[in-house]
Amino acid sequence: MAHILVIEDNAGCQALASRMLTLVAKHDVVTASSPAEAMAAFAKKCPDLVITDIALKSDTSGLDLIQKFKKVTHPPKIIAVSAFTAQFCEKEARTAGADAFLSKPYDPMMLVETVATLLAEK
Amino acid sequence: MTDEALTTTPAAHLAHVYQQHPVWQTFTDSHVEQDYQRTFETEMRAAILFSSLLAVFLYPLFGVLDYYSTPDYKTFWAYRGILGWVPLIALFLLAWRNKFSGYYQLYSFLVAVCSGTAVLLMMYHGNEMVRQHYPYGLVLVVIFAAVPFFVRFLWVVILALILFCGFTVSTFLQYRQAADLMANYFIIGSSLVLTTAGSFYIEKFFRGNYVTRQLEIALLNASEAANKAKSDFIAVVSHELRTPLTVIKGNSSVVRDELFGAFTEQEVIYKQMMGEVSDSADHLLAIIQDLLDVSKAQAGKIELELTAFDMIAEVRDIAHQMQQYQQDIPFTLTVQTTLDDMIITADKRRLRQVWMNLLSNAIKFNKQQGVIVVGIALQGDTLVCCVTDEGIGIAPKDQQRIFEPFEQAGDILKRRQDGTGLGLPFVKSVVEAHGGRIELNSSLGQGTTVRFFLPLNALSAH
Repeated sequence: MAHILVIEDNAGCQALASRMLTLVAKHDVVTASSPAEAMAAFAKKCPDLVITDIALKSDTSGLDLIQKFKKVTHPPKIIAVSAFTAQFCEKEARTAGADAFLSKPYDPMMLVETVATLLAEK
Repeated sequence: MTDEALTTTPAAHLAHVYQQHPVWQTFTDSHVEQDYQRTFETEMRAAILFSSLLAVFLYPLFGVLDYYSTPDYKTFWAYRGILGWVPLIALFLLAWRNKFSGYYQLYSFLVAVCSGTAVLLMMYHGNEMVRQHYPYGLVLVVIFAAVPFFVRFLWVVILALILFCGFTVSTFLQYRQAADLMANYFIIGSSLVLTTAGSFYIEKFFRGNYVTRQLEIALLNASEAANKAKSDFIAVVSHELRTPLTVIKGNSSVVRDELFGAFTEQEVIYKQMMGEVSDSADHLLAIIQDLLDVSKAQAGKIELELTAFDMIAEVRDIAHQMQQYQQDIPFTLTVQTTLDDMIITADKRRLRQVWMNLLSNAIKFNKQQGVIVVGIALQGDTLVCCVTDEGIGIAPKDQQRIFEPFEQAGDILKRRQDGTGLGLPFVKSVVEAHGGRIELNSSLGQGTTVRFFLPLNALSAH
């Protein structure tokens, strides 16, 4: 069981991801709806894996968060998620440090599998 | 935004910006006038250089005339040198160093006034023969200023008036025979009128050209900005649509796939319903993808992902899939080709979308039990691909229009078929991105053939 931080400003998407990871994959999931909440949760307990949306309706984007999270001593694996197409922002997300990119709408099982693959790499 | 901007149309606004003085043709807007002067100087620089260089070399030849006309020719040479030649050299140097900075018109006008003054001075100091013939020099000054030096209409009129008055004053200072005087006035008067009239049309022509060019630039900028605004808008809207779709599609597929436990026998209807929700979400997603693709194609942003693949195998596979997928519509689909295989380097994913689009159109608009034929042939270096149906056909007036985005032939409210009308524009841009072209033959009630040509040289060169 891994500790996962899900950063999503859309309530539905947040619920979908956290439900899949808790109920299907039995992970310990913490959710955040804004960069500020995410930073607080990250400071409280460094997660094994972060799933973050890229556009967060805030001055701080998911890309900024990825860069920050990757600077710590034992950085978490990061999955960037966006409703913009992969051509539009996958490169940016990977440059920022994301280990995987999922474009919305994603298959929920795909999310579970990607999480499993990344955790296995760790 | 000002009230004026709110109430005027773009056309009225442009007409206002490029408003001209009815007689002098100057632009009322001082910024526009300045820009015009600078543009004029840049564009006419070569011509101005040529004219002034020629003038610098030819003007001294008038000295020969002086030599044969008067014993006092050295004074004449001094006038010509100081008031005619030196200003012309200065004008040439300014043109050479590109130093007019908006004042070419003023400088060239001053040069003309100086050389006109030289003629008047020579007349004043000269003998009877000089007084009789040199007045035509005044006419030459005005003609040269107006034509090869493009002095603007307003300055030409002022120049003509100054020289005409100067000539009139000189006739009071010195006696002339009545016949000479009449001849001089006739020739000078009519020449000046003709020259100023010509100058008016030259001015009008230059300024008209300038306005046309500015309007073309404004139009291009506006359409580029509009295209970008449209692409940005579509990118944002599709992002906003995908977010809720993630939830709809994600949850419905989880329920349909019974990830959290199987339905009981009575509950199986829910599984079916969720399957329908999921399929509809897929449909919606496909439309959004089409919108994005077309918007990208419109902005010229299609970046081909080239791979080598066998087009024949690909087409057979697509045809097979279409037959599987569209089982509720009865039709016969055959692939006709003499080629066993055809390896091409192209964007496999997008060409697949092209075939899918053309085939689904053919199936959608086909008659009951109609036959659809897919043909692939090699003509020289070009791969010719076609899809023919026996459907309702497309009226000649609609045949060009349906390649434009959002156009579907016929009346919107009486549409008998679904679709956003984005398929064919997308097909066209993908084919064109591959360096190819597309054409359509159709007659109402008989059927339609869409043919696209992929140049193999251009493809491998990509």
